[in-house]
Amino acid sequence: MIASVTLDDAVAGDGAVAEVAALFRAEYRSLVRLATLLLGDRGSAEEVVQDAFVKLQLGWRRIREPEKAPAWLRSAVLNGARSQLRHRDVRRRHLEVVVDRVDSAEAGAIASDEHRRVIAALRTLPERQREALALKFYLDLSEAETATAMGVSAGSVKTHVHRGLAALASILEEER
Amino acid sequence: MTVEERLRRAMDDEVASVETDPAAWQRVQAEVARRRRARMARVSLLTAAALVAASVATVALATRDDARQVETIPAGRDSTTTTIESSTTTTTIETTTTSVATPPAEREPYEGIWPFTSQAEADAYEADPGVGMFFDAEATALEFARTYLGMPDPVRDSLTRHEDEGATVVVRPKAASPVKTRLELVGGPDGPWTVWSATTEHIQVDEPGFESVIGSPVHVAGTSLAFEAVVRVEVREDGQAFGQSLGASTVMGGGTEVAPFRGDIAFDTPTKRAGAVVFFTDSAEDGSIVEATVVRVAFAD
Repeated sequence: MIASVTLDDAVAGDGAVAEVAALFRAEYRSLVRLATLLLGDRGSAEEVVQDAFVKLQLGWRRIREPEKAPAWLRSAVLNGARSQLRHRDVRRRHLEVVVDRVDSAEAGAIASDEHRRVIAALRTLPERQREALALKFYLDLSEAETATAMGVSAGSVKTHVHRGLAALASILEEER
Repeated sequence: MTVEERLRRAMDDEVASVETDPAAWQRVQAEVARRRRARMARVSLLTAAALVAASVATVALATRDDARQVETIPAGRDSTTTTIESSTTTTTIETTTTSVATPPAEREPYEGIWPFTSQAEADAYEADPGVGMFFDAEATALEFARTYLGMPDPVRDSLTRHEDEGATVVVRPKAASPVKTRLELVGGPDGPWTVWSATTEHIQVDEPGFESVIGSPVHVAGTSLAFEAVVRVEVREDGQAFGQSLGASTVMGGGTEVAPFRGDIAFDTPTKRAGAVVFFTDSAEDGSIVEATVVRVAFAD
């Protein structure tokens, strides 16, 4: 059963729900898109992001500095995406389940060859490199913000980005 | 065009057509409500069982003609305490119920540092709580200060119960000390308490972030004010307490005024998935632990 309160009503209210609703309005779409880049399908991406918001609302009183909530959400989405990917790996190994990817369905029809090649190359990168590239070049986060979201140092982010870009360049060059 | 530009463009193109579920907010609210209902259902069953047990104990005690009941702590959990005074003795009876089946509980992420790091541990304790110390927020906080932080003789400075399931207990390392460590606990009426955060104003930690994923060496940074500027840092995995760690080192902050600290702490391969980074300072007087900031973390695979 779906709750009937609208986002507009929630934003206009007060307390934790209103705070979370305002964040939802500001962040939800970009987080779903980030998760889609990491996971490859929108359905799983929405699940991960919705779960992050559920946890945020249930644990709102533990957020001492509400201005850091977006950073917390990004971390939660990354963690959720990692869990999904690991779960998929297990399923693939045992059940050979093929997960529908956004680039194989409707989006694939409209995507250019160039972008499909780049995205396909991105998905072959190690998890951390992929995350660092998506956070830095899709969300345009600073190195410090990326480091916070990933739970690593800014130095590690630099390394992941550098290696990720180098690997992408190599893969794309080989395909020529 | 550089690889970076190609990547930016490809990512933008890739998700430009991704539209979100128009009912997403409602789904989030429905899930929040469902998890709360699951928790409340569990609380109701436990409360009912505790009330029955408390009633039985009260009736039994009332039959003792030399006893006078002076206090019964309301049953809101599966352990109750009843204190009886007679003309010659004072007796405390702990009543525990463990035989009530509970419905499948929602397994939410558990942020506890100590004594419970998972819902499973909390559930196991609820099933066999011994003297039931951890059903008391203050007792849990003081035992955390002793066992996890290593404070010699901690005392409670203040206790604040929050509306939902939390409590804040401010502790001092000993009665004469002015230094305070603020402990945040989660628990409430439906289960035992556990500490999920410890902070002191003299050690502010910027890195690692709360619940971040760390690997060895972990980079730490923040600001501090401590005796001889030394802040001790330990990386502990779940199950480790004071005197145990995967790795330890010191960082230098401020000695006479607040100043930044930073460093990298190497640690052994953990056997648990999560743990904490513990920052603490020693007493100039006797070297005992005076205050601490503890950050919950997860370990990278």
